[in-house]
Amino acid sequence: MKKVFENLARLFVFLAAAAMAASIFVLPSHTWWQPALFCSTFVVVGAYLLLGPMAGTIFLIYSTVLYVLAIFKAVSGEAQMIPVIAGLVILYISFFIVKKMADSSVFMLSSTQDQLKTLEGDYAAMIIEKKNLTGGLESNRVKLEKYIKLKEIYDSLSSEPDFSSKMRHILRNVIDIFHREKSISLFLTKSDKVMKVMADKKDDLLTGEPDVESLYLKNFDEFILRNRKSIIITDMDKEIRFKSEGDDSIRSLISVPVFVKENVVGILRVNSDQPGCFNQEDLRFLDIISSMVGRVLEEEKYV
Amino acid sequence: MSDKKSVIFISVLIIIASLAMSAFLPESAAMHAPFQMIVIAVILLSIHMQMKDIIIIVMLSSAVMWGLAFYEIVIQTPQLIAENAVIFAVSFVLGIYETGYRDEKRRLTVVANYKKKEADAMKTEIAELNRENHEITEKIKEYKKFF
Repeated sequence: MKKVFENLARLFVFLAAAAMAASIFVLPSHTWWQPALFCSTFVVVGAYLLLGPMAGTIFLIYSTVLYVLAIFKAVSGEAQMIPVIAGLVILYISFFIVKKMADSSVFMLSSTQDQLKTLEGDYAAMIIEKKNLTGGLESNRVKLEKYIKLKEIYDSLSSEPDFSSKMRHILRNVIDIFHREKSISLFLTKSDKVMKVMADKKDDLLTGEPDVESLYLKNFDEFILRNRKSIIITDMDKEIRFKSEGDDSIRSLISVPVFVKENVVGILRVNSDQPGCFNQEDLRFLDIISSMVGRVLEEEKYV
Repeated sequence: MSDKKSVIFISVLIIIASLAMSAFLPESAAMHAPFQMIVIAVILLSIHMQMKDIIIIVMLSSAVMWGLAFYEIVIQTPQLIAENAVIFAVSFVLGIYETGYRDEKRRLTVVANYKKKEADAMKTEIAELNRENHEITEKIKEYKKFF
């Protein structure tokens, strides 16, 4: 309905503009010229508001031309001069008020639209922030869960009777924290003798060997013992520093030294037969496990 | 005096002056130019008033003019009809524009309010996530200290 009225009003603007021009030349009595020219106010206001500023300005020029014609007629004595001039002044005042009003409306609308765009931008930024936070939170929850499990393992150590069962208990339970198909190994060296504790999800194995050479230590284990640094290998096939030495079951690993006070007493290693199983966070966590093992070793007076 | 009051005051002055001049100036000299000034008041009033109120004001002003015509102070009544029609047509066009503008403004305001509420809800969610994250981080720090 509103659209129909709008379109009708637009049509009337054009009709009034045509009728206005015709009436100046056709109407016999000059008393009708002034109402005819007064139509220009409707034409200009209607064109400006319903057809746009450009149309309004064009119709203002058109109306001005008609008023100029009327002024010529007034000069020649066919019409009164004062009403024609007054009509022209009213037309221009009306035009400028309408222009100011329309500009102000456009400004108000555009500022609201700007505000809307700012809100949309802020909201989009908040969605990203929420996504990042949710990811971080999820990762922290997993991390906390690991720490809680680790604390439980540590607390339950007191129930284990001897040193070897304590070590096996730690490793058997710790491997669960890494929640993938992996195995964990602890190599303890003392006076050129090596003890190896291995565990996977199903079982654990404790072996003792009389000397370091007799136990199959990989070259990356030797690197850790020598350099006292942690390593992470994401894919053994692409590794250039170390060779797998025929053991194809290891594709990725993390390994850390075990300290008792200042001394390196062994290494702790988690292997996987899949590449890319570990990240820096896993390495940091293994470091904490190694500290725990070191603490147990210290309590058990291993060194 | 506020902007709104000033505009209404000036408009009322224009209407009074227009009617007074229509009554006292000789029609043969000024024709209906004073009455036509009402269109300026109509446009000014449309800035702050609803169109139905403006139509009432225009009708009252026209009634005064027709009163003058009844007492034969204004003689050219057919022309007065045409001028009345033009003033009402201008009021009508301003009404259409005002309705369109208000609808658009209302629509944008509704959307903006909705977006604000949405953003507030999201801020609350983010604050809650931050709080939870902080708690978990503190717990992790405690465990780290322990180990």
